[in-house]
Amino acid sequence: MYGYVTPYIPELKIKEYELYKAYYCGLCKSIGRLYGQTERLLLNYDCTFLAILLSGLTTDTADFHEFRCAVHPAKRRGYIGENDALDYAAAVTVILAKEKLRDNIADGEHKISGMAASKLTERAYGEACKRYPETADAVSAQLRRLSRLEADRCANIDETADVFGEMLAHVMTGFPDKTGEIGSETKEILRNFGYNMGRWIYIIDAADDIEKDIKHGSYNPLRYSENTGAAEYIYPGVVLTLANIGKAFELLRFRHSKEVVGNIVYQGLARTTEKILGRNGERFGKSV
Amino acid sequence: MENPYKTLGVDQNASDEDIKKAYRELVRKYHPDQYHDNPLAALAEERLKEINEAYSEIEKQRSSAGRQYGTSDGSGVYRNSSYGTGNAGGSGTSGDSGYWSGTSDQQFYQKVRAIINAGRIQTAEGMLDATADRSAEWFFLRGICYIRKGWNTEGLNHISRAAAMEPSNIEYRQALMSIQNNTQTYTASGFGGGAGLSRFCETLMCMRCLCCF
Repeated sequence: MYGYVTPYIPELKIKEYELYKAYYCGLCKSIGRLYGQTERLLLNYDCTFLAILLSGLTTDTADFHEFRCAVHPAKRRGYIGENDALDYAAAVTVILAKEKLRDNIADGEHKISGMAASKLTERAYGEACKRYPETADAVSAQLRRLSRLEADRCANIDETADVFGEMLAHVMTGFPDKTGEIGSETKEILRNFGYNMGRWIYIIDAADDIEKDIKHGSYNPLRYSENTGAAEYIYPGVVLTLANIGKAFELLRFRHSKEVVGNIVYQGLARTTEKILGRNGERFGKSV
Repeated sequence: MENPYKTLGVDQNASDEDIKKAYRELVRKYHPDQYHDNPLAALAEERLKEINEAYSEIEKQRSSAGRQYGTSDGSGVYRNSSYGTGNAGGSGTSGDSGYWSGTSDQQFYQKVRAIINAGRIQTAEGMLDATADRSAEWFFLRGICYIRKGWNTEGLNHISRAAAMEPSNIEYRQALMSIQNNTQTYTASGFGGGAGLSRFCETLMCMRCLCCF
């Protein structure tokens, strides 16, 4: 989707890093198998995270295999074999990519490439919707809400971030739980986890794009606020959102892969926040 | 009950000392203070109960096996009662009537607090938005509603505004402090070296400076 949800590799053990890469390759293979070879280009880190999280909660072990990748043929690589979590993450990849392209077209951004890519994913999107209609509907509904807020030039970042929060909450709880592993308790935690992560992604993306949006005259909730320019304005709230993500994470009961998810939650998200808002939020303050 | 050793995440053969350490670590992690104003507070409390039970069980097993371990009545166990009522995460708004303004609005805010404590945030928001009053208490309770929903920027703005309007109010300042405490577990492990944390403290300190004027 946006690629903000990444691990902090220096803090990963080698076997955890291998596991992360294996999920990445596993997701790529699932997208190819279910939606087509071109759609594999949509592969991203955010959906890889979703695959690891849901696999770790529902499957007994990480089912590791070796293969030779056509793009990187020199070395044998590991991948995670087919499972429901990867299939779901593959569909979410297609659904979110489609919606993002639609958004770009509406914005008048990348008009041509947006149109071309939109045609490309049309069939794949239709298939993903057929498989997981509730998730697809929830994503569309939330993005329609976002369009309305954008049209109104909404200056309240908490309100616009709520859209992404609800969207990811639906994505995380929309995983069809065939094995019965996800009970109501886990669902409640996943809802909260997804909500806060969606909020974080939206706010980080808004802060990341602010210079570009001002230059192009595009919508960005941080542009219209009277507090724009003050790092203090969003930084403490972002830190608190990260803390909420951490607290939801601690309540989840993993069967495996908890270390990788923990690395992303605590190290990865914090590093991305530092990179975009500055180590103490100062970079964002200066850039506006 | 699940294997108590598994619940505490320790080996069956772990020393009493290691078990105690793991237990304390978990109590810290799921302590109600950590889930202050968090919608998952009830689940964290449930988890803490499991951990207490597991620890008691291990103590019982080990003492009945003739091993010396503390006292057999499980006095080392962290007691639920020590953090007050089962009012999950609501202590930020549990309020001491001593801080109330004593106006005719008192009853209204008392009702709003009860509704927030019951977790009916939307209802509380509706009531607050419908009233014309914009006292410090209004900003405080509106802010608590925002924090509960995860709307943190609005929440912090409202609560610090309440604290600035009524600098002598302990409840408002305490709420800001407890929010800061809530971020510590994350910032300690997330922002390598706690630089992010210092910024958070600084910002809240600024908010407290406002209280002086």
